[in-house]
Amino acid sequence: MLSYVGWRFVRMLSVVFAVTLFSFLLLNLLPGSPINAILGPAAGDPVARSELTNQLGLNHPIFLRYFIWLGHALQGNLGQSYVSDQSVTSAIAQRVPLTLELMIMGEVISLGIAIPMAMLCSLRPDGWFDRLTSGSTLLLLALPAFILGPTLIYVFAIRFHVFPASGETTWFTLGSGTSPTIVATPQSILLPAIVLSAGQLALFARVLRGDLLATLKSEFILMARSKGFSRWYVLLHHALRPSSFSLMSLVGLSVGGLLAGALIVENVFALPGMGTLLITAIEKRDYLIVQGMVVLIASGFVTVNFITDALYGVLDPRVRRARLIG
Amino acid sequence: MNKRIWLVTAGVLALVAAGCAKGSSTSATSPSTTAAGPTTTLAPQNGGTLNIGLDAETDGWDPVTSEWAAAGYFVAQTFFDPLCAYDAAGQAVPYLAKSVTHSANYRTWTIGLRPGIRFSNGQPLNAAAVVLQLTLGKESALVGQALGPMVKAIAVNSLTVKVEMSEPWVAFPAVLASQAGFMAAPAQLESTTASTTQPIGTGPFTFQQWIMDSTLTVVKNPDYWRPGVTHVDKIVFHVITDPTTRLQSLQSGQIQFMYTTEASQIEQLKGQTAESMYVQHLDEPVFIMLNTDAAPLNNLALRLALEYATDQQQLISAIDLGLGSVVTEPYAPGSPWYVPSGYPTAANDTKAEQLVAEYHHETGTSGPVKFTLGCTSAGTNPEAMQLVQAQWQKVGIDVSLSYTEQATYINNAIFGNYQANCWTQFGDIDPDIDATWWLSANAHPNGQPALNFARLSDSTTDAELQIGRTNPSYAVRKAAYGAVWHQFALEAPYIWLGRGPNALVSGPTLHGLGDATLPGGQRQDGLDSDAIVPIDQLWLSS
Repeated sequence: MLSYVGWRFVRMLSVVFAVTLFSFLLLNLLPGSPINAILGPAAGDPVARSELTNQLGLNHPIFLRYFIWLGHALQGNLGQSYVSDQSVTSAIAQRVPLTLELMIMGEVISLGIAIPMAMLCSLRPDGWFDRLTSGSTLLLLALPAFILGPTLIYVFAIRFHVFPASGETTWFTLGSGTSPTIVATPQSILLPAIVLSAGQLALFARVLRGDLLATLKSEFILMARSKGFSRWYVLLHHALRPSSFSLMSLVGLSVGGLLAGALIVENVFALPGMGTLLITAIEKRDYLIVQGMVVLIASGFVTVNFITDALYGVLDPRVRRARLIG
Repeated sequence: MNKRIWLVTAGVLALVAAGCAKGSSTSATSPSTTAAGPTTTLAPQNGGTLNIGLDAETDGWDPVTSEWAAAGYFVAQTFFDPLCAYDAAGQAVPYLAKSVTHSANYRTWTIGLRPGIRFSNGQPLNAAAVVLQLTLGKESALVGQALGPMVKAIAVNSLTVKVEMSEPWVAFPAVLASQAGFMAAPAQLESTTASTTQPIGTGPFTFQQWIMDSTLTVVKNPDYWRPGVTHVDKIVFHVITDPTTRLQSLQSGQIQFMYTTEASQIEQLKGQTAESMYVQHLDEPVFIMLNTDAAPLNNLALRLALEYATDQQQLISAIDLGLGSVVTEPYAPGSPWYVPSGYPTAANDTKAEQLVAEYHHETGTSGPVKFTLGCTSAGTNPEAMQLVQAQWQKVGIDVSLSYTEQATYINNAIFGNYQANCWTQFGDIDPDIDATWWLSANAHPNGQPALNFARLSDSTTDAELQIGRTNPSYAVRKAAYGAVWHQFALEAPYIWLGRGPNALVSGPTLHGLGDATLPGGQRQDGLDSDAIVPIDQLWLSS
């Protein structure tokens, strides 16, 4: 088991390394340059271009720049933003808590609603609740964040003044000074979290419902029912666990989806998270910020999937046994 | 047309910043341009927190190295004061400076400072501070553009600075009213770690906190050198890039002030009673920039055909919901720099077809003329460009549309890697600041970086721009710039598409817009020109 985990870990590292290399190359192959983004039309001045190019170190060959960056990154230094001159590490660290809050809250809302919803549907397939759920999840899947967001803002912020229309309210700050990292109050990011969770919720509910229905047709379920266990008991104690593999894979993969969703949701709700930072950095060709974000996102993604893989073993003894034999 | 949609927002426009963007300047000799804005007869109340919605974040608060667009100027004016500002007559007059005078030949300017003013960190505002900032500004890739003719700044005594120019320069006070003249403390400018993130100025508010892409907070400066002019205790700027969310934030009471360039929002707000709206009439035009160094648009007849084939009124009706206005030159009627240029104000397909035929005759070609029309895909750009495409198609000009993201788009313009691009620029408060973009000396061949993106070399334009830069007489300068606008109509490097609306919107509790005063007590400009909209003297009613 230990060698399995170790092997997976090495693979994880090589994936992250490959991602950093290719993202660095691709970013630098993009047309346009930070010089144009920073100087605007003034970039037409050859002297200004040359000065800024040297100042940013863009005069070095691309591979040399990559290995300089990698050497610094391994020491925890992701460089300085081309545009704001802020440390990339601190710029990203400032944004992570809010996006994490948003993603976790979105995931909790999705799972918290999708699991009971799918269980209820599987109890009476094609019943009124199942049909209602099927229709509403389809609607949620079809509703983009930029429609659902303003609609919810109109209802809950303008009409009823329950939630703020935009931005976040500081719950507490991490660090001090004039640019602290903020952690937002759950209330102020509930609305964006609901928007973020909408698509996931629908997907989770539909997948789990399908798996539950398939499991409920199994012989061991018939056996459990014949022993006199109630339908709810059987559903909860016998059917849910073996039906949750697809859901778990989806949850692992949804990290990427949540991040992508956060890009839009943060923009709609004016939240200073990783999405906003990434969009601004791409627009400004602030390569080092983008590169830092790519490293973080890639690391986060492979870590979550690594954990998901490990959890298969916990959920399914057959996987555990196969790994031991392997 | 909506300014932001057309292209390039912050980066380009602001920048023009180098000298200007919003907040640019006016010549020391320009006359009145604007009427005052809305005023109130209520007595100002003190206290409260003013929340303002901004459409964009700014990359930093160093007046020498950062790049301020409209949103940047809104914020910067709270913790910085400019050396000059505009009065209601559109004149750049001393603000933080006590006097700004020039030698007889306009090659030397002398800035006298008010005694006893200190930055919020306690450092004195003295000649050394001004020299440091102007010197760093001259060396800056961004601000250096605006300070073009400046050679050096010298401290004469503790409160007097002499600035020497390489040539007569009449518009220098205009630059002192822009980013280059917003005074930051030496401690901020010399900081290697916080020059962009911790602004220190002499302004009516002091910087408190900046959470990038979210909020920036300033609090009332208790030691401000103009006691009693500020009323609110605190201003919180909220970055809300999505225009719908920004308006919804105002309607929910979360913010009390915002601005918008969305025609649909302006139309929607016309019927509202809860919000007050002031529609500005700024000079920044939207146009299609033609690469005069690349075929087929190196042909004058074809460029002129585009002037006549373009129906601005149709574009304004369809894209700006009728809220825009027709453009014939960089300035609008009513501006001190407006001189009728002879540019066609309405489409004339017959004339356009004749010119296309002339193009074919000159080049020995036939059939539809083909080239690529570029644009960014932001906002309503695609719809507008499709409309232009249809208008031109009627006269035998068949353009294919190409959408490019902003950074590449600017790059293409700089290196001449385009044929025709939609663009927004010019119309600065003093035309001298825009001269950089029109001079032949900056029109390098395609493939080389150039500031004159249209790459039009024209000796008449050069001569008139030189008169505009060096002649102190407003009448002479106006005539010179009028000649430049006429040359634009004759040479057609720019196909004007219109001028979009821009509105300041406030909630029911906000007052004082248009009431700001200068240190001498006279009204401050800013609502109807490209000067900075003053917000530091606004107040809230309970």
